[in-house]
Amino acid sequence: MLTQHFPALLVVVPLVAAPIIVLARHALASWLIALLATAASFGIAAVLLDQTLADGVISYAMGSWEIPLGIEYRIDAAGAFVALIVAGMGLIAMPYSRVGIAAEVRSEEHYLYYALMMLCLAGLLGILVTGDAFNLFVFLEVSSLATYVLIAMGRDRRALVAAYQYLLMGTIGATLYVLGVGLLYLETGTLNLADMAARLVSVGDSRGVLAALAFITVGISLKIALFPLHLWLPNAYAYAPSPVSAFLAATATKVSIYVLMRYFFTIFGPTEVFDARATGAILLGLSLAAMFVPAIVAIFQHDMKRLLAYSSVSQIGYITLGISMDSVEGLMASAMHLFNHALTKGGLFLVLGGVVLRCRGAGFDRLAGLGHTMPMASFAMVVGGLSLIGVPGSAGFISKWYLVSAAMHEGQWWLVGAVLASSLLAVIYVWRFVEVAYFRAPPADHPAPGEAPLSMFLPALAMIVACVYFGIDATWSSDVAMRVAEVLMSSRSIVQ
Amino acid sequence: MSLKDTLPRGRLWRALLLALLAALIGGLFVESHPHFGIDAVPGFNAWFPMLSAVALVFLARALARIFGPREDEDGR
Amino acid sequence: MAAELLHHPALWLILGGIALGFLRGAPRALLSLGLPLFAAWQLWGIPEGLYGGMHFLDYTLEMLRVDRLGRLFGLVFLLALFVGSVYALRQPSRLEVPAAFVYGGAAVGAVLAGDWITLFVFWELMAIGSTLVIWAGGREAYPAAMRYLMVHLFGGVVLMAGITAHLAGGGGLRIEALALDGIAPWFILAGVLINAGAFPFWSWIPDAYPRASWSGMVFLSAFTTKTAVYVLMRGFPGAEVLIPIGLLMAGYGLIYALVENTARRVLAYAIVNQVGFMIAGIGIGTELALNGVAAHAFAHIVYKALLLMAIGAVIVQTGRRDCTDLGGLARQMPVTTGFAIFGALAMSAPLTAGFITKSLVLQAAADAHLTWVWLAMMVIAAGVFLAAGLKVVVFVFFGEPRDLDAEEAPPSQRWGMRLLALTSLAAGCYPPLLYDLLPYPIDYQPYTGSHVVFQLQLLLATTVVFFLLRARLVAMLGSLIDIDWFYRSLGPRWTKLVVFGVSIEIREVARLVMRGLANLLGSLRRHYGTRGVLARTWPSGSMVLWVALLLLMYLALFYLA
Repeated sequence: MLTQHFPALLVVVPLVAAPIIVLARHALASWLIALLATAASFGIAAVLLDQTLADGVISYAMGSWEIPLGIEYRIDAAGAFVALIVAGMGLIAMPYSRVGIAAEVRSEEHYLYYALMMLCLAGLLGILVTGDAFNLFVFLEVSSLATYVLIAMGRDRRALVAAYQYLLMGTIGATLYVLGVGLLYLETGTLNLADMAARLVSVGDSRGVLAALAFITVGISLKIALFPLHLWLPNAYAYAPSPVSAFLAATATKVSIYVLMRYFFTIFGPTEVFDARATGAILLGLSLAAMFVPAIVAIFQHDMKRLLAYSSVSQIGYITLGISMDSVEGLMASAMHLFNHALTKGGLFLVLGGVVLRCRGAGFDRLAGLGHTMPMASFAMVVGGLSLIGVPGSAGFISKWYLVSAAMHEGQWWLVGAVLASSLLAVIYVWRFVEVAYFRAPPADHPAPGEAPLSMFLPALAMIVACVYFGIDATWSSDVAMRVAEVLMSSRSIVQ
Repeated sequence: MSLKDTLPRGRLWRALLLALLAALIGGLFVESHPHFGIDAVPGFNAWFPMLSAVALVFLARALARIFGPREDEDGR
Repeated sequence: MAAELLHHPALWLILGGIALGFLRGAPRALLSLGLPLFAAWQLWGIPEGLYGGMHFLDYTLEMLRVDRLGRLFGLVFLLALFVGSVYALRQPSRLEVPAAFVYGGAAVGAVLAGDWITLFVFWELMAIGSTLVIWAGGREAYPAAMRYLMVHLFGGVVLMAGITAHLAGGGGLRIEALALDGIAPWFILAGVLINAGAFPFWSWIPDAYPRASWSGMVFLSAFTTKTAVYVLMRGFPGAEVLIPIGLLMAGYGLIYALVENTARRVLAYAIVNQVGFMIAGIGIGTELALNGVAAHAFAHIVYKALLLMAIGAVIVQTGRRDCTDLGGLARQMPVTTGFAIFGALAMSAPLTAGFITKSLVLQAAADAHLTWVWLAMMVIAAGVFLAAGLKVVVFVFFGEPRDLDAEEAPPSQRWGMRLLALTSLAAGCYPPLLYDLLPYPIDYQPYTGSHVVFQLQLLLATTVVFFLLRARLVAMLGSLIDIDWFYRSLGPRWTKLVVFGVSIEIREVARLVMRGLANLLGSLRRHYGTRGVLARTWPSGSMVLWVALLLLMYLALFYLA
């Protein structure tokens, strides 16, 4: 049966599509291949999520080697959920890219763009599906390397510097991760994650395990762009081509957050080390700092892309805040926000991409008067902005609701206050856009742009509509997020 | 603003006072249901509002002396 | 989902309001007149009960609750919207009336909401709709509209926090009376009171409303504060804390209405005053008091809108807004003057709605043997008639003619006023018309000899006092700063506090505080601004330093712990 190979196919399809695209070398053909491959991945992810919700874990032995000797692909509801987000975002970004990159990437490089997108997708999906610590590192590098080049493709010369800095930081992060995995291998003698978790329980409180936890946490935090390790992110998002910004904002950091959840709750969760140390407290502190400092920075930005990028760093704080609560409710809120923020920020970057195409820049001086020149796009931006704030009826509200409920469940009233206060900061930075778009006259040299091309606007609109839809009917998303939280916490609750 | 013209002159002013007088006299004949004692005093519904209105005006004037006048004239 | 939701008046009003934004001329006029009538017909046809079924989070929402109280407020709002639309037929702004429909529709949705979450959604929609209505007042209205929006967004956050806490604490989703124990109901109360204009958030009413267009304030006066009154009636009937809160509002509104010069600001202060009166009535909490508050909300909407329409007509004709710039308009605008006089009388004179409603609340205070409350309410009744009724009418329409270039109000405006006057008269002459709609069964006879005579005594005595003291009233016009002034332009005026025995040092302190604030802002910009330490595009070296620091921190905490 084909379905039993789905965990492998999820990764293999885009991975194989990449070299085919390079061979094809034709812009239109490569776009078609990429679109098909992404659609296939999305379909597979959907089936996998359906199966894992019904049956629990799916284990797949790569090349039929016996587990744990061979590499195991192991996917449960949590992984499949994030995979669906990643593949879904890819599927939205592909039709968008056709016109979206025309102005930002040299035409002879278009086929490379698609090939790299495929590699990036394959890497991200691989991280989610693999059950092997070292294999995870390999996929992390595959996706990261592809990302560096994608960012560097931006027209702005600063894109190159941004990509270089991201490369530097990303490599350090990956190195720290590998060091951590190495230490774990020394302690347990296995690279299979499930196996490792089982053996770690008996290892006890050893210095090696502690160091591994520290290295892996810091390494992954870098990839998450957790404050204060976020410094690579604003430039990378700001200077990358628009579809890349949107795709990365919705997926790359989210996948890293998934990895952090995995390590925290499934691998280290059952050990006494995890409870005895201040892991949760440190993460809580960093999350709170992330909720406020980058949000204030966002208020002072003069460029919409950078504003959204800083807002991303701030919103990541909400997700890690849920993780730091170390409860099913908190984790569920995190999973919700992971999904809802992917929708919101992905949608916002997509809309902005169309605006940048027309206004030739995302600086506030270029966007002035946007409410009159591109009414649809600026309205979509405002709706997305409302979701960033967490206004009821938007997806952002649902996640904040669960986050606040989780905090109350823990009796942490001051956290409720912190979430609300940080939302007020979001009001201010979203307001900055409203002011620029609606209360300023368009720049003198404005070429009276008109709306973005349909192939760009429709995908963007779809995301914004989804923001509202999942803000009103959150039944599906909250059910799945609950399952995700339960799955992730299941091994942790054994010790508790 | 000329104050003269805001004052109802002659007949109108007299009519107002007469009407008040009529209401006061009428009050003596209707059956009332005092609740507190003080409202059983004749003409309570005339002199109490009168006194309180005077008190209010002087209170407002005192406050205006202390805090007024506002200088930021976007205040309109 | 229940089929009744399709008949939800708010749905039609909001959708229709959006449609109005795309229409002009006769279609716009027809739709704006037809929609409120259609919505009222829909509302009348829905049997009493709870309708909903939409799922949100873990809750099943009851988005529509029709009972006596909700239906009464809904109908009153629809009346205000209809009459306002008639009055605004000649309004050139393409934004104001559509925004007013969204605003009014949200208000109707709020009073018909069965659960807290639905209420909150409509609450926020009201804030947006009303801001747009103010916004349509023109360039000068912009800053006030923003201040207004900020206050209401803040109120919304407080309300949201309260609702969240209430639900998380296992409280019921349905809007029902809450006991003031624990933090959640206090938050809800505070959020609602901000919308009602309670201390210290009362100055947004006189700040923002009078800056709306000539027709805009008619809409604004009806919905926001009365929705808050409605929620207080639902959630906190008989909460004693509401009595001092309401009386404080009433006193504040009274004093400021006395000294204010701008005619519509006087009426805005009178709104605070009358809402305070109603809130005190809710604090009394007996069935008679609640009936009285609901009835008075109706009467107040009617006479306040009538007065605002008359002043609005004056603004259209003369372009002037201050009492000291107006006068003697009775000759040029006799019909408008007549309606204004009727509006002032409709506050409490026999044969008008105000008479049969205000006395209910006073009677409730008397029945509950609350001597001081009753006396205070007497003062309020006399004072507001003097400050908002006599003062506005006499100073604007009588007195020395100022050679103002004014004509009688156009038919659309006259019709708006006429409809309101007739409504007030109908309810005043035949009380069962209103009494039968009240939430509780009522056994009260307003037209007894003593009621009528005593009320006439009060009105006549107040009138006499007004004419005796009018010189002092004129002298102090426009001479009192308001609380919003403290947060709008704090600083040099601090010296005024000297009269309270605080020495001149205050000025130095204020200067120091201001300088400190400026420094703080400067350093915020230094650190967070585009060139700030925390936003600069860092050289890679320092990024790596952060990584090292964080790693060290983890390791240190792990090994030392």
